[in-house]
Amino acid sequence: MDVNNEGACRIKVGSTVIEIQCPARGLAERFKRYFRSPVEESDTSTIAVFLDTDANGKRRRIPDSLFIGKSVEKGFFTMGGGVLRGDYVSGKMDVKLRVDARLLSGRLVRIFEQFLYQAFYSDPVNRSRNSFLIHASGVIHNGKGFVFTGPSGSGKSTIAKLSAENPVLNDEICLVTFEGGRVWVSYTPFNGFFKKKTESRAPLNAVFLISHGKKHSILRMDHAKASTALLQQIVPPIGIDEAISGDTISRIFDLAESLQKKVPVYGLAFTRDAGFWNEIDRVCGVDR
Amino acid sequence: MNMKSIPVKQDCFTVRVIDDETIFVNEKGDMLHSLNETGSFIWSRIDGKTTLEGLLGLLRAEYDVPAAGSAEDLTRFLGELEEKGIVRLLE
Repeated sequence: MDVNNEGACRIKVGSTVIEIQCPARGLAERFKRYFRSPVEESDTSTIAVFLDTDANGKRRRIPDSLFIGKSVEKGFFTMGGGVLRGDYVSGKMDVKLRVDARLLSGRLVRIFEQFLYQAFYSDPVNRSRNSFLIHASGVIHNGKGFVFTGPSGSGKSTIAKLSAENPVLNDEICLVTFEGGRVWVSYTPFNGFFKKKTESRAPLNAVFLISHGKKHSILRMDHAKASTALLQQIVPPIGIDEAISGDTISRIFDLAESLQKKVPVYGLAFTRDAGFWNEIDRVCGVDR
Repeated sequence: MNMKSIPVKQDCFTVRVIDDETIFVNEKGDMLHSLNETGSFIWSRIDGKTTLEGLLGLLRAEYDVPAAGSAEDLTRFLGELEEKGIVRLLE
């Protein structure tokens, strides 16, 4: 496919720099405003995405997931029933990508981000470091990191809003990394609709599986329940050239179990006020 | 299904044992089913050769299972697994 590049937007996720080469300068500028990712001039791009849009193609249904129903064959991939397709040679770290233009504007950019998650996982460094993305809001409280995860509607964004007195890393997608015998939670530039992010990271002190409740309450979760809940919130660790398989699910289980060995997992029911932090301080023994 | 039926595991799921629980997950990462300790014991003894009758014997040898109703419970249990596509029952 022919790609005429007019501008680039670079985003940084952990140590991985994804460079999106856009077919129009306006799109590159829009991405920069959306992601607002702080990338230094000196940061080398890890993976380059040569983006082209498919404005007049067959109007396909926009799927919720770019992970399910993905096909990969001989360096060619399609995602979401063809709304996104391209060429990628494993290990070459550059991708030619053609995307249904609808995915690049409005709320549907969140779906396009799922391709960028896969670009992140294509960086071998993230495999060796056991880094993973998780659907979660992340907050630093008194120097310690906390992750709040759960299905859509469980309150991740609400937790972020109620935690505005603390540095909020993201309200939807955070990065978790095993490093130096510790677990860290970090900022990501994803979900650019949430602007009050702090680019930082902290040692992860606890993970909360959240739900709306009638009062603030915290309960330690048993191992099996926590694993299955985390399983559904960890972004599948597959690169652009991989499709989800039983091995992927096993890998997610492994990540969930590794996480639980290092960090306690609790169930948190909360009401719409910041009082849940008092409960967290009490249960997790965070010094003020 | 009868006590001579042979359950066979289907391999279209990822199965993980955590503590005493066995968890079945599909490709989307959705948990389809989980088994408690007794269910996990039965699952671990399904080898594509042992009949329901054989499984009941193994269950009785391992656990203090009351004679009355245990065959019906086992049949119901395997019926649920068959419904979810976790096992296939050979007559």
